[in-house]
Amino acid sequence: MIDINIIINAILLMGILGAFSAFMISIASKVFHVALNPKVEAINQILPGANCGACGAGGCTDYAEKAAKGLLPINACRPGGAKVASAIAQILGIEEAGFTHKKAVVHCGANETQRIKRAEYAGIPKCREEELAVGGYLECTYGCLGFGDCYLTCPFDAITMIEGLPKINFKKCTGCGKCVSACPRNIISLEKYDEGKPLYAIACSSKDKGSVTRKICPVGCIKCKICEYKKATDQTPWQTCVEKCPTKCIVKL
Amino acid sequence: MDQAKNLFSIFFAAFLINNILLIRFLGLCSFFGISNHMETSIGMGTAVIFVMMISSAVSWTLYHFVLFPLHLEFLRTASFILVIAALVQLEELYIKKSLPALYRSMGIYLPLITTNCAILAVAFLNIDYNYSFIQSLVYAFGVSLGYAVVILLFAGIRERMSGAPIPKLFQGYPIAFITAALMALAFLGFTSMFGF
Repeated sequence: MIDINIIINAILLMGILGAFSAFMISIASKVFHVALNPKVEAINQILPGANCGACGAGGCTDYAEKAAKGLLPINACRPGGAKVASAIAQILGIEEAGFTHKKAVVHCGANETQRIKRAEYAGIPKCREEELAVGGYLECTYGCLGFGDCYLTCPFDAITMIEGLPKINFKKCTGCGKCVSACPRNIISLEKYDEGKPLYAIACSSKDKGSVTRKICPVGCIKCKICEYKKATDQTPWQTCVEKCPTKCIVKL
Repeated sequence: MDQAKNLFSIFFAAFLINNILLIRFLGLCSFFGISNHMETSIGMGTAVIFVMMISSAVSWTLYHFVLFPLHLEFLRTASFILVIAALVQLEELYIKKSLPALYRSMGIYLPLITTNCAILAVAFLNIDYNYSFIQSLVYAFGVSLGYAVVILLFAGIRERMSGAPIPKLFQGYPIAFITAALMALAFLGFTSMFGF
């Protein structure tokens, strides 16, 4: 025989527990209500949400908070670009700060077959580990190691590895600078970029003497200074430089 | 003196010998899900210590002062879940208001572990072992500290493994499971400590 009291008690207990918890939570949500800045929410909505950290904050939400407080400049979001910068200015009701496009540029042009190795490397296949362990397995102490740390770190899928050399897709690159800090040899830099205009770069970061470079790399800068001379005299200096460079290490991107 | 010794043995039995993750295999979803990075596992560990202490205190009180006198022991699963979930919600609201720094570090982990099986298991085991209030608190602290230490150790190993040349077959979760199994074997070594 089932005791009817137990059923009633069970229903009562669970009902009271549930009602009590609901009551307490609804009171607490009023008492402990935290007023959120609506501007932070509005900024957070227009941010790209990539959490790349290029702005200097911990993520997009963090940046929204800091930008609303004025701790970080409103044009710091690299992936968002000019559009986001002006939108934030509108939300906060302050003057627009302008925005310069930047793209990552690789200052090395030697692909896998052109590099001269001084040893075989069989350790962890990552640039930073390799550089730490043996200081580079290449003859050139400035050139790209080719394990693709930059390729792995890029949050926008803008880098592809072609014959062991990173190729940066300018359509996807936002200039967040993650690859710049990922490269242990500091051969990637951010350069000013105007839409539609070509970007010229020196695809070599060697500081060796010309005679040394000539021995270890077919596409390295040999410090012939032809480009410097051409830049002083020519009308379209960069284009001439690309044509005249004897090792073809000045490139048009 | 005898009581202190008893508490000590309860603590160590929960902390090392019957470690909740590696010997009992409870709460494994969060163990594998959140142990990728050191920082996240620290957040998870502190949140588990926090919630487990509170939930075992509340569930013990509820059982011994409400359920047991009313002969409603069969309702303990439902009522424990309800009370623990509600309590953690309250805690979250309170912390969000008064301790924003702590809220940011615990963040999403507080609501996540509300429904963790390890939390509920400790609430049940306190009842099954017939612990007193103090004993159940010590037991909960031992279990949660064991959880925090093991998830931290595991996160350290996994961070090291991310740079290791692991065969493609074993990358990701397979090698994590193998590592956890080896850690569990190592923890079996504590079994005969203190004569338990």
